[in-house]
Amino acid sequence: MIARGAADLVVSLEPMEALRYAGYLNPHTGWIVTNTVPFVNITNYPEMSAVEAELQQRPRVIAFDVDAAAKEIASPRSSNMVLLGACAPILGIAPDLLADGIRRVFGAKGQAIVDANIKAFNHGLAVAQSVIK
Amino acid sequence: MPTMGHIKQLLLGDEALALGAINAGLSGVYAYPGTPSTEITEYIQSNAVARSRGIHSHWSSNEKTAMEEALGMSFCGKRAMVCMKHVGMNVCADPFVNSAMTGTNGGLIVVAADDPSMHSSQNEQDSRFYAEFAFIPTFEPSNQQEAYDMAAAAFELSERRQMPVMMRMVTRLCHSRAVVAGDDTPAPERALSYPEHTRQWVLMPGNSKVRYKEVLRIWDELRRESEASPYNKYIDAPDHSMGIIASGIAYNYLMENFPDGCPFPVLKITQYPLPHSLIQRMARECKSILVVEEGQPFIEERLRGIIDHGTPVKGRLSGELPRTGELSPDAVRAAVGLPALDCATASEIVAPRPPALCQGCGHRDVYHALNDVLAQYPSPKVFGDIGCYTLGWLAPFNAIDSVVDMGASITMAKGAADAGQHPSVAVIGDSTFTHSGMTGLLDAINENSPITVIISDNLTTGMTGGQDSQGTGKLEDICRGLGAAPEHVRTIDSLPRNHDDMMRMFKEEIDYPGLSVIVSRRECIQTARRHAAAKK
Repeated sequence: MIARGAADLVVSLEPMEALRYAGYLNPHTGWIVTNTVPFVNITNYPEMSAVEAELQQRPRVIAFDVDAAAKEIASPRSSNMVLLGACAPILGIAPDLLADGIRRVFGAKGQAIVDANIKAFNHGLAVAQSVIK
Repeated sequence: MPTMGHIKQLLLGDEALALGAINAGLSGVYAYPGTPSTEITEYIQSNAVARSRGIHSHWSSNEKTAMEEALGMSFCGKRAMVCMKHVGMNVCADPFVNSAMTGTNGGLIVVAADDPSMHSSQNEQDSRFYAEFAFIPTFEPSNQQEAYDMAAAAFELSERRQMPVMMRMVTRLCHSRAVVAGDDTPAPERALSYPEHTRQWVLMPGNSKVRYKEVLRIWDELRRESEASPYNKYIDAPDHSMGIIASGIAYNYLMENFPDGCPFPVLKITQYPLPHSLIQRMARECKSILVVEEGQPFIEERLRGIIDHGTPVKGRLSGELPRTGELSPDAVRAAVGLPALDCATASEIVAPRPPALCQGCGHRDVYHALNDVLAQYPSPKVFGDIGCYTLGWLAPFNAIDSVVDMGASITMAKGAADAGQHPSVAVIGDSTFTHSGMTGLLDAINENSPITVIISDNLTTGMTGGQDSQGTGKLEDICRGLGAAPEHVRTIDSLPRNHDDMMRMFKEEIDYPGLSVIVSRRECIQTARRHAAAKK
């Protein structure tokens, strides 16, 4: 359980969900990293423009179309690796170590799968670095 | 002799406990799936050591059968563990309470995973009441490492005192991960052996009267053991204006707010019965006592009593902490007098996402057809049950009138029919039916009650993530075997294209003035997808 104001990072594969717990972030240092593609399975999903506006208006947000990036770089199933890459500069764990972890986790599935996931990770990392600097 | 090494792993609280039990020489786990306990058994089912040793891990039909099976394994000298969510304790209450009367032989751990705030439950009962009621000692881990360590400690205590031991878990401990250091050399399993004292295993009054006194004597000894246990720690500090008793995971929430150490004396409680002498010390040395505990005010009520006097006690009953729901670091912060942290503004545009039945779920077809049929009757009542299909209460279906406990659909429908209700319909899932529906169905069969039981069979225990269902492939046989008239045990596939046929069948059986069972069947869309992917 995280105290209100104690969260360093909210990471989400869905933009409205990124905002659901945004109030838990440290107001001075906390980041939001999120996909911008909505998952609409309710009738009262807010206007997408309002969701985008709120994300833009908050400080320290990395928001991009993770699905499209994953599809273009590797495969739609690697969107989680794109997102992990986008979190990497904020996590306090060296990106190289995270990449080693990816190699270990996917190693049994063959080099092609490892490469695709590393590529997806690196893409997310590059997006984040371009926003942060 | 192999040297004992340590390996570090990132584990759920449930997994840490499971691994701790395997490494302590577990021979069998017995369980019925239930959030937040399910992952304990699933971990053991997939663990390499457990598989190579053939450690028992098949799901049981319900928590009572699981508890009794574990007790049987303990009788034969082997270490057994039974796991359930808190309401499962109600189902296994009879063998649980009586397992203190029989005592144990091989170590026996009863895991009760409580769900304060009812994330996935119908109430927030606190299992510590059951343990005290039964005179069964309890461990309450405050973190994942303790969940691992306490498995071995609980087996050791259970065997030394010849008593079952409860392991009380809570949702946030079960379902959060932390680094856990564990042995890399699992202890051997116990050899087959029989209880030394045989009379207490036969609970006839003559034996029980003798044994009950022994149980009470052991309880006193267990209390002294609790007072000296490393799992109950008195941590003194300079500010005696208040002392804080923190049990289980609440200890974590407390200390998180004091990264440099708590300025007040803290009594950490993670082993029960309550360590009276340590609590008495706090009452002597501190001007007031704050009790921080997850779940119901179990410790607080015992401190306070009915005639409030002596050291002022603060906690959930006096409003310093919320009376209901789980604790949070924020709630604990406020109770110890710290100001709230500065936080980012919450969003005002976020809409709730209530749970819904999946697209492609057969329960949907059952409710569509049932609603269309029942619209033809002036006052139909539908008694629901525990499972994904409980969501049939919500829009757009609004199809059920009650949900109480596992199996209650059939028996409440029968009671309603006894009262003159028609149509009286029960909707129950396949796994819930074999858990606790079969015995109630026998009541209805024996009186040929005019009710219609719809078993919405998705071939799995869906709500907890798709565990094997004990009745798969046998539901019609079970119903006929119990004595249901074969012509009124009918089967149909829950599919949109069968809508009219489903309606016709439902109507025929509702209009039949006796007991009928309709098995409406379609594989859970989630497990179907998994099976399809596995075939690729």
